[in-house]
Amino acid sequence: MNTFVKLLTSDRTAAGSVGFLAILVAVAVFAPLLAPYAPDSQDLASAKVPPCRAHLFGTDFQGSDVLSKMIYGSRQAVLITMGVGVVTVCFGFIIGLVAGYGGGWLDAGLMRAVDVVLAFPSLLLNIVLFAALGPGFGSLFLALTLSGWAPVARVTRALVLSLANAPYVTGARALGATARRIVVCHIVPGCMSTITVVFAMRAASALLAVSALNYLGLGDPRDTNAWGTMVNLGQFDIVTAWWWPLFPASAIALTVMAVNLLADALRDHLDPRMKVRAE
Amino acid sequence: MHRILLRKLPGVIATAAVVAVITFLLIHLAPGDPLDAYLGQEGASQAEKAVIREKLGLDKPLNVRFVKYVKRLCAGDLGSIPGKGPVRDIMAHRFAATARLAVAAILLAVVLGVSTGLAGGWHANSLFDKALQCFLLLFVSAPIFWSGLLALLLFSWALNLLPAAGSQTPAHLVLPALVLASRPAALVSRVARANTIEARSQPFVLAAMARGLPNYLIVMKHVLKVVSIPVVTIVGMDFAGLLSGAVITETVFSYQGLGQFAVEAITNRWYDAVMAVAMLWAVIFVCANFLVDVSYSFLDPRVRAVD
Repeated sequence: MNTFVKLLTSDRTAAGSVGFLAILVAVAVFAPLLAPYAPDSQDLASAKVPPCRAHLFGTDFQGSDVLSKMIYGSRQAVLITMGVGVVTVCFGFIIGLVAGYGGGWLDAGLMRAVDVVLAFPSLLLNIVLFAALGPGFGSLFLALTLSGWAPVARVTRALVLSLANAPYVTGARALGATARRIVVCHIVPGCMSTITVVFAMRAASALLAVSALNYLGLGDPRDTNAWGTMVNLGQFDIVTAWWWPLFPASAIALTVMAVNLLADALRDHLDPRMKVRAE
Repeated sequence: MHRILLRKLPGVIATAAVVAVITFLLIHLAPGDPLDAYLGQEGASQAEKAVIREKLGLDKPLNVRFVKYVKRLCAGDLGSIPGKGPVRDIMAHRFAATARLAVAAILLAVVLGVSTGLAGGWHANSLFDKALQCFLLLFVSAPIFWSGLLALLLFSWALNLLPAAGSQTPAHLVLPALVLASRPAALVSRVARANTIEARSQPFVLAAMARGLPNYLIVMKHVLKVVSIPVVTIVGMDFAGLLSGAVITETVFSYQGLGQFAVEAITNRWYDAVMAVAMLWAVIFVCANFLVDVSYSFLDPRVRAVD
């Protein structure tokens, strides 16, 4: 916690991104209070109105307020980013820990599984998984988790392998510490700073992945407020109504950029040796 | 070279096999009836459906269908799309289009990325470098459809320079390739910059400076060599990202490639086509990783010595 406060006070970029993300979470939580219109209210008389005082971000083809839809859409964005990030990292971390510390056939088997997951282009895997699991927020969540854990497992395993041979771990082993004690007290804490950075990167990837699905029209068709879905519906009207697809697309870009900036700052601050990018 | 090939080949085949099994299971366990897609708008009575189901072999249990599928695959038959002909013929055409796009994008990414990275790293923390970093971070973060739509607005609508949609002429390749290259170019540039900064303080660069070599010669002859290895790594690592990006790029620009075909196949439940695309992608990806491994031995004398 202390290092985090120090990071925010010393690094203006990190503070800026945390501020942006905090505002985004607040917008998602208080969406009904903040949205100037109901997201599904239609008014065909004022369809495709350019940004003006009544509609700050304009309206779409049904006359719905783009800003209000985006405010409601931030809920899915925040839930997916945080939720999938946390679950993916926990799952991948446990797999990587077991593989790295367990070794032997366990390690070989788990790493083969990682290779196979990584051999699919992530977008294609997401599409096929989501199609197989059926529509709904739950299966979207599951599909993104199933395709996202592999890089985390690989990073964790490499980290565990290097830590397992670190002098302080060898020392603990020489003193007669049990395997459980070594893992819980020495290896897991040693991984935490890197895993924090990996978490931020996975969170950014999750948002990009769900936006890609929605953009292709393969996401949840019921959630018409999702940012990617708005881009999908609005892209063919980009010449006549640029505000309709471009504002949600820019919201995705800005959010991912804020998360990436935070990840970069955390990496420089916590673990300058690591260089892994969010996909 | 032969030795690497022999060492890596079993892994390539094993990965392709596992990918085939997983894709088969996922597709066949998915809810929804492929017959509905096959029959289209008209539909059919229950009795007619049963006949077609039997003809297509859809009434058999999963394991029987899988064995049949593998047999067909071994014979080089990728199946067919109802009413559209064999998957192989359609895919060959689409694959050529995507290959053109991917190769153009990789070349652009390497050229743009390495040149900006070298310049930024050599003049690290200058105003140019700082502006470049902001710009690059935007392209690393932004979804491809964001840059794609912006490029579309700017180049084909506002400036009216390039066609917006289609894949017929070389001009149709320019915008998609640029957009697809934007992310890998940014990644390459960041890696090249970091390595240039590191190389700048290395003894061999200092020695070259002391000999009075002009800057451009030092960069081109000494720094570029060091930078090329991590650049190859990052291009290889991001290859899966490039394939995913191709799906989005092709959709933005209505480019008739493999990615657009994959989306079409999944929406229409063309089983054979989805499996073929997934397999092909996995094989391409594994081969790309293999090429990266091989290229190390060309670029890095230390690796060559080990082999």
